[in-house]
Amino acid sequence: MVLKRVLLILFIWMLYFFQNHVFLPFGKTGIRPDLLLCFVIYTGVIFTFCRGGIICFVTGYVLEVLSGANSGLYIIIYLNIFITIKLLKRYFNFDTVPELLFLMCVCVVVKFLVILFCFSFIYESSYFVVRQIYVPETLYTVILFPVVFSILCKLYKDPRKIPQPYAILSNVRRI
Amino acid sequence: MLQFFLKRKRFFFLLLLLFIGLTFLAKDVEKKKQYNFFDNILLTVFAFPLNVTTQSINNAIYIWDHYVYLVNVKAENTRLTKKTEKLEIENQLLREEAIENQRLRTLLSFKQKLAYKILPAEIIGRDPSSWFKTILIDKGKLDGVLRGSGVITPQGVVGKVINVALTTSKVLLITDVNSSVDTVVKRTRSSGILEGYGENSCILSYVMKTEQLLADDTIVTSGLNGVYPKGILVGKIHNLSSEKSGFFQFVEVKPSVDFSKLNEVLIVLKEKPAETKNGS
Repeated sequence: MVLKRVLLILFIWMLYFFQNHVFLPFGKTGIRPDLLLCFVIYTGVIFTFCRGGIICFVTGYVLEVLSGANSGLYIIIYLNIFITIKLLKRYFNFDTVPELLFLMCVCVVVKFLVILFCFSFIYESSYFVVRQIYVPETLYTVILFPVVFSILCKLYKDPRKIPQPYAILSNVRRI
Repeated sequence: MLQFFLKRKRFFFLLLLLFIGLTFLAKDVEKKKQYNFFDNILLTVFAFPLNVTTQSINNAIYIWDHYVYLVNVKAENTRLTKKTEKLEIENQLLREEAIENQRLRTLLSFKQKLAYKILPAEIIGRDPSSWFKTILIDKGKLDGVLRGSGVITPQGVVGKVINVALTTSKVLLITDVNSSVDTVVKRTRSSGILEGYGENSCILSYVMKTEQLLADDTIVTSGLNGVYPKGILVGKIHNLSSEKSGFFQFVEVKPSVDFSKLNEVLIVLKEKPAETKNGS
Protein backbone atom coordinates (compact mmCIF):
# COMPACT_ATOMS: atom_id res chain seq x y z
CA MET A 1 0.00 0.00 0.00
CA VAL A 2 2.87 2.35 0.89
CA LEU A 3 4.56 1.57 -2.40
CA LYS A 4 1.33 2.30 -4.25
CA ARG A 5 1.04 5.66 -2.51
CA VAL A 6 4.61 6.50 -3.46
CA LEU A 7 3.87 5.48 -7.05
CA LEU A 8 0.77 7.67 -7.03
CA ILE A 9 2.76 10.68 -5.80
CA LEU A 10 5.41 10.02 -8.44
CA PHE A 11 2.74 9.84 -11.13
CA ILE A 12 1.22 13.15 -10.00
CA TRP A 13 4.71 14.64 -10.09
CA MET A 14 5.03 13.28 -13.64
CA LEU A 15 1.75 14.99 -14.58
CA TYR A 16 3.18 18.33 -13.41
CA PHE A 17 6.42 17.56 -15.25
CA PHE A 18 4.58 16.79 -18.51
CA GLN A 19 2.48 19.93 -18.26
CA ASN A 20 5.48 22.12 -17.59
CA HIS A 21 7.96 20.70 -20.07
CA VAL A 22 9.21 22.76 -23.01
CA PHE A 23 9.60 19.96 -25.50
CA LEU A 24 6.15 18.42 -25.47
CA PRO A 25 4.20 18.66 -28.73
CA PHE A 26 1.27 20.53 -27.23
CA GLY A 27 3.68 22.79 -25.36
CA LYS A 28 4.79 24.45 -28.57
CA THR A 29 1.30 25.69 -29.39
CA GLY A 30 0.82 27.09 -25.90
CA ILE A 31 -2.38 25.12 -25.34
CA ARG A 32 -2.02 21.99 -23.26
CA PRO A 33 -4.44 19.55 -21.64
CA ASP A 34 -5.30 19.97 -17.99
CA LEU A 35 -3.95 16.63 -16.82
CA LEU A 36 -4.39 17.69 -13.22
CA LEU A 37 -8.11 18.09 -13.81
CA CYS A 38 -8.18 14.34 -14.51
CA PHE A 39 -6.44 13.84 -11.17
CA VAL A 40 -8.93 16.09 -9.37
CA ILE A 41 -11.83 14.11 -10.87
CA TYR A 42 -10.16 10.90 -9.73
CA THR A 43 -9.74 12.42 -6.26
CA GLY A 44 -13.42 13.36 -6.16
CA VAL A 45 -14.48 9.84 -7.10
CA ILE A 46 -12.06 7.91 -4.88
CA PHE A 47 -11.14 9.98 -1.83
CA THR A 48 -13.18 11.16 1.14
CA PHE A 49 -14.31 14.73 1.80
CA CYS A 50 -11.40 15.85 4.01
CA ARG A 51 -8.54 13.98 2.35
CA GLY A 52 -9.78 14.81 -1.15
CA GLY A 53 -10.28 18.47 -0.22
CA ILE A 54 -6.72 18.78 1.07
CA ILE A 55 -5.32 17.00 -2.01
CA CYS A 56 -7.23 19.35 -4.34
CA PHE A 57 -6.03 22.36 -2.34
CA VAL A 58 -2.38 21.25 -2.57
CA THR A 59 -2.73 20.36 -6.28
CA GLY A 60 -4.05 23.84 -7.04
CA TYR A 61 -1.40 25.53 -4.92
CA VAL A 62 1.51 23.73 -6.60
CA LEU A 63 0.09 24.54 -10.04
CA GLU A 64 -0.09 28.21 -9.09
CA VAL A 65 3.54 28.22 -7.97
CA LEU A 66 4.64 26.73 -11.30
CA SER A 67 2.32 28.81 -13.44
CA GLY A 68 1.76 32.52 -13.92
CA ALA A 69 -1.74 32.16 -12.49
CA ASN A 70 -2.96 34.42 -9.72
CA SER A 71 -2.63 32.77 -6.32
CA GLY A 72 -5.80 31.09 -5.22
CA LEU A 73 -7.29 30.75 -8.69
CA TYR A 74 -6.57 27.07 -9.23
CA ILE A 75 -7.30 26.27 -5.58
CA ILE A 76 -10.80 27.70 -6.09
CA ILE A 77 -11.26 25.94 -9.45
CA TYR A 78 -10.22 22.51 -8.20
CA LEU A 79 -12.11 22.80 -4.91
CA ASN A 80 -15.29 23.81 -6.77
CA ILE A 81 -14.88 20.82 -9.07
CA PHE A 82 -14.32 18.57 -6.06
CA ILE A 83 -17.44 19.90 -4.31
CA THR A 84 -19.46 19.42 -7.51
CA ILE A 85 -18.31 15.80 -7.77
CA LYS A 86 -19.21 15.18 -4.13
CA LEU A 87 -22.68 16.67 -4.70
CA LEU A 88 -23.18 14.56 -7.81
CA LYS A 89 -22.07 11.44 -5.96
CA ARG A 90 -25.35 11.57 -4.07
CA TYR A 91 -27.13 10.68 -7.30
CA PHE A 92 -24.49 8.78 -9.31
CA ASN A 93 -21.94 6.10 -8.47
CA PHE A 94 -19.61 6.90 -11.37
CA ASP A 95 -18.88 3.25 -11.96
CA THR A 96 -19.74 3.13 -15.65
CA VAL A 97 -18.06 4.72 -18.66
CA PRO A 98 -21.03 6.99 -19.62
CA GLU A 99 -21.30 8.26 -16.04
CA LEU A 100 -17.57 9.06 -15.94
CA LEU A 101 -17.78 10.86 -19.29
CA PHE A 102 -20.78 12.80 -18.02
CA LEU A 103 -18.76 13.72 -14.92
CA MET A 104 -15.86 14.86 -17.10
CA CYS A 105 -18.20 17.11 -19.10
CA VAL A 106 -19.71 18.60 -15.93
CA CYS A 107 -16.21 19.26 -14.52
CA VAL A 108 -14.95 21.09 -17.62
CA VAL A 109 -18.09 23.22 -17.58
CA VAL A 110 -17.58 24.04 -13.87
CA LYS A 111 -13.96 24.94 -14.57
CA PHE A 112 -15.01 27.16 -17.44
CA LEU A 113 -17.64 28.96 -15.37
CA VAL A 114 -15.20 29.67 -12.53
CA ILE A 115 -12.50 30.84 -14.94
CA LEU A 116 -14.95 32.96 -16.91
CA PHE A 117 -16.12 34.60 -13.70
CA CYS A 118 -12.55 35.30 -12.54
CA PHE A 119 -11.39 36.43 -15.98
CA SER A 120 -14.39 38.60 -16.75
CA PHE A 121 -12.36 41.43 -15.25
CA ILE A 122 -9.40 40.70 -17.55
CA TYR A 123 -10.70 39.55 -20.94
CA GLU A 124 -12.92 41.89 -22.93
CA SER A 125 -14.22 39.20 -25.25
CA SER A 126 -15.34 35.84 -23.89
CA TYR A 127 -15.57 34.59 -27.49
CA PHE A 128 -11.79 34.88 -27.76
CA VAL A 129 -11.35 32.88 -24.53
CA VAL A 130 -13.69 30.15 -25.71
CA ARG A 131 -12.31 29.80 -29.23
CA GLN A 132 -8.60 30.16 -28.60
CA ILE A 133 -8.09 28.51 -25.22
CA TYR A 134 -11.09 26.71 -23.77
CA VAL A 135 -12.13 24.55 -26.75
CA PRO A 136 -8.67 23.15 -27.63
CA GLU A 137 -7.76 22.69 -23.96
CA THR A 138 -11.00 20.80 -23.27
CA LEU A 139 -10.54 18.67 -26.37
CA TYR A 140 -7.02 17.64 -25.36
CA THR A 141 -8.15 16.97 -21.79
CA VAL A 142 -11.15 14.84 -22.81
CA ILE A 143 -8.96 12.79 -25.16
CA LEU A 144 -6.38 12.11 -22.46
CA PHE A 145 -8.83 11.66 -19.58
CA PRO A 146 -9.47 7.89 -20.02
CA VAL A 147 -5.72 7.20 -20.19
CA VAL A 148 -4.81 9.24 -17.11
CA PHE A 149 -7.82 7.99 -15.16
CA SER A 150 -7.04 4.35 -15.94
CA ILE A 151 -3.40 4.77 -14.88
CA LEU A 152 -4.48 6.46 -11.64
CA CYS A 153 -6.94 3.65 -10.90
CA LYS A 154 -4.25 1.07 -11.56
CA LEU A 155 -1.75 2.82 -9.32
CA TYR A 156 -3.97 3.46 -6.34
CA LYS A 157 -7.36 1.93 -5.86
CA ASP A 158 -9.58 1.51 -2.88
CA PRO A 159 -10.91 -2.09 -3.09
CA ARG A 160 -14.40 -0.92 -2.16
CA LYS A 161 -14.44 1.82 -4.75
CA ILE A 162 -12.98 0.41 -7.92
CA PRO A 163 -14.58 2.26 -10.84
CA GLN A 164 -16.39 -0.14 -13.15
CA PRO A 165 -14.58 0.89 -16.37
CA TYR A 166 -11.29 -0.08 -14.83
CA ALA A 167 -12.71 -3.39 -13.59
CA ILE A 168 -14.00 -4.13 -17.10
CA LEU A 169 -10.58 -3.33 -18.58
CA SER A 170 -8.87 -5.61 -16.05
CA ASN A 171 -11.23 -8.50 -16.87
CA VAL A 172 -10.67 -8.08 -20.60
CA ARG A 173 -6.94 -8.23 -20.04
CA ARG A 174 -7.31 -11.42 -17.98
CA ILE A 175 -9.41 -13.07 -20.70
CA MET B 1 -25.67 25.06 17.40
CA LEU B 2 -22.55 23.01 18.01
CA GLN B 3 -24.37 19.92 16.79
CA PHE B 4 -25.32 21.74 13.59
CA PHE B 5 -21.63 22.43 12.88
CA LEU B 6 -20.51 18.95 13.93
CA LYS B 7 -23.08 17.34 11.65
CA ARG B 8 -21.80 19.33 8.70
CA LYS B 9 -18.13 19.44 9.66
CA ARG B 10 -16.94 17.99 6.31
CA PHE B 11 -18.88 20.60 4.42
CA PHE B 12 -17.53 23.41 6.60
CA PHE B 13 -14.00 22.04 6.20
CA LEU B 14 -14.31 22.38 2.41
CA LEU B 15 -15.77 25.85 2.85
CA LEU B 16 -12.75 26.76 4.98
CA LEU B 17 -10.36 25.56 2.25
CA LEU B 18 -12.35 27.56 -0.31
CA PHE B 19 -12.18 30.61 1.92
CA ILE B 20 -8.38 30.25 2.18
CA GLY B 21 -8.22 30.09 -1.63
CA LEU B 22 -10.33 33.24 -1.90
CA THR B 23 -8.08 34.97 0.63
CA PHE B 24 -5.04 34.12 -1.51
CA LEU B 25 -6.82 35.54 -4.55
CA ALA B 26 -7.82 38.71 -2.70
CA LYS B 27 -4.27 39.22 -1.40
CA ASP B 28 -2.91 38.66 -4.90
CA VAL B 29 -5.12 41.44 -6.28
CA GLU B 30 -3.51 43.87 -3.84
CA LYS B 31 0.05 42.83 -4.49
CA LYS B 32 1.46 40.16 -6.80
CA LYS B 33 2.73 37.29 -4.69
CA GLN B 34 6.45 36.89 -4.04
CA TYR B 35 7.95 33.43 -3.66
CA ASN B 36 8.13 32.25 -0.04
CA PHE B 37 10.28 29.49 1.46
CA PHE B 38 7.89 26.66 0.46
CA ASP B 39 7.50 28.02 -3.06
CA ASN B 40 11.29 28.06 -3.42
CA ILE B 41 11.53 24.41 -2.33
CA LEU B 42 8.69 23.41 -4.68
CA LEU B 43 10.29 25.23 -7.60
CA THR B 44 13.67 23.63 -6.92
CA VAL B 45 12.09 20.16 -6.83
CA PHE B 46 10.22 20.72 -10.08
CA ALA B 47 12.88 22.79 -11.88
CA PHE B 48 15.74 20.32 -11.44
CA PRO B 49 14.37 17.51 -13.68
CA LEU B 50 13.07 20.09 -16.15
CA ASN B 51 16.54 21.60 -16.32
CA VAL B 52 18.24 18.22 -16.74
CA THR B 53 15.93 17.01 -19.52
CA THR B 54 15.97 20.35 -21.35
CA GLN B 55 19.78 20.41 -21.24
CA SER B 56 19.97 16.81 -22.47
CA ILE B 57 17.60 17.42 -25.36
CA ASN B 58 19.40 20.67 -26.23
CA ASN B 59 22.74 18.84 -26.21
CA ALA B 60 21.34 16.13 -28.47
CA ILE B 61 20.03 18.80 -30.87
CA TYR B 62 23.41 20.57 -30.73
CA ILE B 63 25.27 17.36 -31.60
CA TRP B 64 22.87 16.70 -34.47
CA ASP B 65 23.17 20.23 -35.80
CA HIS B 66 26.95 20.57 -35.43
CA TYR B 67 28.30 17.11 -36.21
CA VAL B 68 25.67 15.13 -38.08
CA TYR B 69 23.73 17.65 -40.08
CA LEU B 70 26.69 19.24 -41.88
CA VAL B 71 25.41 19.53 -45.41
CA ASN B 72 26.26 22.60 -47.50
CA VAL B 73 28.32 24.03 -44.68
CA LYS B 74 31.15 25.24 -46.90
CA ALA B 75 28.86 27.25 -49.18
CA GLU B 76 27.08 28.67 -46.14
CA ASN B 77 30.43 29.54 -44.59
CA THR B 78 31.57 31.48 -47.66
CA ARG B 79 28.30 33.37 -47.81
CA LEU B 80 28.44 34.22 -44.12
CA THR B 81 32.08 35.31 -44.31
CA LYS B 82 31.19 37.79 -47.04
CA LYS B 83 28.22 38.98 -45.00
CA THR B 84 30.39 39.39 -41.90
CA GLU B 85 32.91 41.51 -43.82
CA LYS B 86 30.11 43.75 -45.01
CA LEU B 87 28.65 44.01 -41.51
CA GLU B 88 32.06 44.78 -40.03
CA ILE B 89 32.38 47.82 -42.26
CA GLU B 90 28.85 48.88 -41.30
CA ASN B 91 29.69 48.31 -37.66
CA GLN B 92 32.76 50.52 -37.86
CA LEU B 93 30.71 53.31 -39.39
CA LEU B 94 28.03 52.96 -36.73
CA ARG B 95 30.64 52.94 -33.98
CA GLU B 96 31.99 56.20 -35.28
CA GLU B 97 28.49 57.64 -35.25
CA ALA B 98 27.91 56.36 -31.70
CA ILE B 99 31.09 58.06 -30.50
CA GLU B 100 30.00 61.27 -32.15
CA ASN B 101 26.54 60.91 -30.62
CA GLN B 102 28.05 60.35 -27.18
CA ARG B 103 30.22 63.43 -27.54
CA LEU B 104 27.26 65.55 -28.56
CA ARG B 105 25.17 64.21 -25.67
CA THR B 106 27.89 65.16 -23.23
CA LEU B 107 28.11 68.57 -24.78
CA LEU B 108 24.40 69.09 -24.39
CA SER B 109 24.59 67.87 -20.75
CA PHE B 110 22.22 64.99 -21.44
CA LYS B 111 21.51 62.79 -18.51
CA GLN B 112 23.62 59.62 -18.48
CA LYS B 113 21.58 56.80 -19.96
CA LEU B 114 20.95 53.78 -17.75
CA ALA B 115 23.60 51.12 -18.26
CA TYR B 116 22.29 47.62 -18.96
CA LYS B 117 23.98 44.31 -18.36
CA ILE B 118 22.81 41.28 -20.31
CA LEU B 119 22.57 37.80 -18.80
CA PRO B 120 21.82 34.81 -21.07
CA ALA B 121 19.37 32.21 -19.78
CA GLU B 122 17.78 29.02 -20.98
CA ILE B 123 14.08 28.22 -20.93
CA ILE B 124 13.44 25.12 -18.83
CA GLY B 125 9.67 25.19 -18.51
CA ARG B 126 6.48 26.64 -19.85
CA ASP B 127 3.27 27.54 -18.09
CA PRO B 128 1.43 24.35 -17.11
CA SER B 129 -1.93 26.04 -17.71
CA SER B 130 -3.12 27.28 -21.09
CA TRP B 131 -4.64 30.43 -19.65
CA PHE B 132 -1.43 32.21 -18.73
CA LYS B 133 1.67 32.87 -20.81
CA THR B 134 4.76 32.47 -18.66
CA ILE B 135 8.08 30.67 -19.00
CA LEU B 136 10.53 29.35 -16.44
CA ILE B 137 14.21 30.22 -16.96
CA ASP B 138 17.32 28.72 -15.36
CA LYS B 139 18.66 31.93 -13.78
CA GLY B 140 17.54 33.28 -10.42
CA LYS B 141 18.44 35.37 -7.42
CA LEU B 142 21.88 33.75 -7.17
CA ASP B 143 22.68 34.97 -10.70
CA GLY B 144 21.62 38.52 -9.89
CA VAL B 145 18.18 38.48 -11.53
CA LEU B 146 15.78 41.02 -10.09
CA ARG B 147 12.01 41.13 -10.18
CA GLY B 148 10.91 43.42 -13.01
CA SER B 149 13.96 42.82 -15.20
CA GLY B 150 13.22 42.86 -18.92
CA VAL B 151 13.74 39.75 -21.04
CA ILE B 152 14.68 40.04 -24.71
CA THR B 153 16.16 38.08 -27.62
CA PRO B 154 17.97 39.36 -30.72
CA GLN B 155 14.56 39.09 -32.47
CA GLY B 156 12.81 41.37 -29.97
CA VAL B 157 11.11 41.73 -26.61
CA VAL B 158 10.04 38.54 -24.81
CA GLY B 159 8.63 39.75 -21.49
CA LYS B 160 9.37 40.68 -17.92
CA VAL B 161 10.55 38.75 -14.83
CA ILE B 162 7.63 38.52 -12.40
CA ASN B 163 8.97 36.10 -9.79
CA VAL B 164 12.51 35.22 -8.77
CA ALA B 165 13.48 32.04 -6.92
CA LEU B 166 17.03 31.08 -5.95
CA THR B 167 17.97 29.34 -9.19
CA THR B 168 14.98 29.98 -11.43
CA SER B 169 12.79 32.89 -12.49
CA LYS B 170 9.34 33.20 -13.98
CA VAL B 171 8.90 35.44 -17.02
CA LEU B 172 5.56 36.92 -18.05
CA LEU B 173 5.42 36.95 -21.87
CA ILE B 174 4.19 40.03 -23.72
CA THR B 175 1.34 37.92 -25.13
CA ASP B 176 -0.15 37.39 -21.65
CA VAL B 177 -3.24 39.47 -20.94
CA ASN B 178 -1.65 40.80 -17.75
CA SER B 179 1.37 42.15 -19.62
CA SER B 180 1.84 45.78 -20.69
CA VAL B 181 4.83 47.38 -22.38
CA ASP B 182 5.34 51.06 -23.12
CA THR B 183 6.03 51.30 -26.85
CA VAL B 184 6.21 53.68 -29.80
CA VAL B 185 5.53 53.25 -33.50
CA LYS B 186 8.93 53.67 -35.15
CA ARG B 187 7.71 55.60 -38.21
CA THR B 188 5.28 58.04 -36.61
CA ARG B 189 6.61 58.04 -33.01
CA SER B 190 3.03 57.53 -31.78
CA SER B 191 3.13 56.05 -28.31
CA GLY B 192 0.89 53.29 -26.97
CA ILE B 193 0.70 50.51 -24.43
CA LEU B 194 1.24 47.04 -25.85
CA GLU B 195 -0.99 44.48 -24.12
CA GLY B 196 -1.22 40.72 -24.53
CA TYR B 197 -4.07 39.37 -26.63
CA GLY B 198 -3.77 35.61 -26.38
CA GLU B 199 -2.02 33.23 -28.74
CA ASN B 200 0.99 34.99 -30.29
CA SER B 201 -0.80 38.30 -30.63
CA CYS B 202 -0.89 41.70 -28.86
CA ILE B 203 -2.88 44.89 -29.09
CA LEU B 204 -1.56 48.42 -29.03
CA SER B 205 -3.86 50.38 -26.76
CA TYR B 206 -4.46 54.10 -26.37
CA VAL B 207 -3.46 55.08 -29.92
CA MET B 208 -5.55 58.05 -31.03
CA LYS B 209 -7.64 57.71 -34.19
CA THR B 210 -5.88 60.76 -35.57
CA GLU B 211 -2.59 58.84 -35.78
CA GLN B 212 -1.90 57.71 -39.34
CA LEU B 213 -0.72 54.16 -38.82
CA LEU B 214 -0.18 51.57 -41.52
CA ALA B 215 -0.07 47.78 -41.59
CA ASP B 216 3.48 46.45 -41.18
CA ASP B 217 4.57 49.53 -39.20
CA THR B 218 7.29 48.56 -36.72
CA ILE B 219 6.70 48.86 -32.97
CA VAL B 220 9.69 49.41 -30.69
CA THR B 221 10.14 49.94 -26.95
CA SER B 222 10.02 53.51 -25.74
CA GLY B 223 12.54 52.93 -22.95
CA LEU B 224 10.44 55.11 -20.64
CA ASN B 225 9.85 52.61 -17.83
CA GLY B 226 13.49 51.55 -17.60
CA VAL B 227 12.65 47.86 -17.99
CA TYR B 228 13.74 47.52 -21.62
CA PRO B 229 16.40 49.52 -23.44
CA LYS B 230 15.02 52.08 -25.87
CA GLY B 231 14.37 50.99 -29.47
CA ILE B 232 14.16 47.23 -29.02
CA LEU B 233 11.92 45.63 -31.64
CA VAL B 234 8.57 44.44 -30.33
CA GLY B 235 6.59 43.54 -33.43
CA LYS B 236 4.73 44.73 -36.50
CA ILE B 237 1.21 46.01 -36.95
CA HIS B 238 -0.92 43.17 -38.25
CA ASN B 239 -4.44 44.53 -38.22
CA LEU B 240 -5.87 48.05 -37.95
CA SER B 241 -9.40 49.26 -37.33
CA SER B 242 -10.95 52.62 -36.51
CA GLU B 243 -14.54 51.44 -36.74
CA LYS B 244 -15.14 51.17 -32.98
CA SER B 245 -16.58 54.21 -31.27
CA GLY B 246 -14.30 56.20 -28.99
CA PHE B 247 -11.05 58.08 -29.25
CA PHE B 248 -8.71 55.17 -29.84
CA GLN B 249 -8.15 52.82 -32.74
CA PHE B 250 -7.83 49.04 -32.58
CA VAL B 251 -4.28 48.02 -33.47
CA GLU B 252 -3.34 44.33 -33.47
CA VAL B 253 0.39 43.64 -33.32
CA LYS B 254 2.22 40.45 -34.26
CA PRO B 255 5.26 40.01 -31.98
CA SER B 256 8.61 39.72 -33.72
CA VAL B 257 9.56 36.82 -31.46
CA ASP B 258 8.19 33.38 -32.29
CA PHE B 259 7.43 32.17 -28.76
CA SER B 260 6.93 28.58 -29.89
CA LYS B 261 10.57 28.36 -31.05
CA LEU B 262 12.06 30.16 -28.09
CA ASN B 263 14.91 28.30 -26.35
CA GLU B 264 17.28 30.95 -25.02
CA VAL B 265 16.67 34.49 -23.81
CA LEU B 266 18.64 37.47 -22.57
CA ILE B 267 17.81 39.08 -19.24
CA VAL B 268 18.33 42.84 -19.07
CA LEU B 269 19.86 43.53 -15.68
CA LYS B 270 19.69 47.07 -14.51
CA GLU B 271 22.94 48.50 -13.20
CA LYS B 272 23.29 51.55 -11.05
CA PRO B 273 23.77 54.59 -13.27
CA ALA B 274 27.33 55.86 -13.32
CA GLU B 275 27.69 58.80 -11.00
CA THR B 276 28.97 62.04 -12.44
CA LYS B 277 31.78 63.99 -10.93
CA ASN B 278 29.55 66.41 -9.08
CA GLY B 279 27.72 63.45 -7.51
CA SER B 280 24.37 64.02 -9.20
